[in-house]
Amino acid sequence: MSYTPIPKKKIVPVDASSDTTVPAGSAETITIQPPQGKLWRIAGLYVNAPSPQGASTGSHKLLFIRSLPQWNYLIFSANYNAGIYKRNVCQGTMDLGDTTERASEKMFFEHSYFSDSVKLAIRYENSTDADQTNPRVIGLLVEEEDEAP
Amino acid sequence: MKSGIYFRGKFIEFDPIQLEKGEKCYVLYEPYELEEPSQPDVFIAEKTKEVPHGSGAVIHYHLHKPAPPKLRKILKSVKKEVKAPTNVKGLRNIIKHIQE
Repeated sequence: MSYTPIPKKKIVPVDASSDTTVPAGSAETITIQPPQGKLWRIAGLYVNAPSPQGASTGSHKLLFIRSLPQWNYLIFSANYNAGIYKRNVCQGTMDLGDTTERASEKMFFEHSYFSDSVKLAIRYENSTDADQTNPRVIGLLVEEEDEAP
Repeated sequence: MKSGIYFRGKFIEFDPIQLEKGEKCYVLYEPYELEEPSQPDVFIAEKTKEVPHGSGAVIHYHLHKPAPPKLRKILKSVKKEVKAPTNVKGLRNIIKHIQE
């Protein structure tokens, strides 16, 4: 009689916030490298990136990319005078009225596994005309399980 | 996308997370990775922080600034490439490892 072990999972909160100044036209990349032998998946997300102070044109974006190759990604963007604010609880967006966007977000989260070899990169792009001096709050709730050998 | 440094006529490729704090490397994007052709495709990435997480994870922070156009041309024309092992940390060690 064969026995298939039930994968053991746990929930891990991760704070990937940053208060580094991002000059106009530049970007900051926050790469999350899970422990070796572990598989992580985003189960919940909170982001709050205020608009750059003094900006008068352009936009800013927050991209979630699984590194190399960059096939799977999610983009949150806003104009220069608006903040990026998202709350996702268990793959369901609470702030969007657009069901298409909500569906693509859900798809990203459902397949958002990343590991020590395929890391998650969170990229903040400041394409406005002012330096971003405001802190960007990025909180993740990840589901951790053991990676297959 | 590839990242690394230009050293003695070769592009030494490695992951920016292998940098130590304050060190820099280049990041080059392929045209299909850009949202618009007018976007800069070569950046200078500087490691600003490395934060260990209680779970055993590590969070790496890098600032990316567009590289000057002259530098972009030089980097895109380099043909010789060598990959550094992923377990080597710091520019000095990466170069030392490649030279051995």
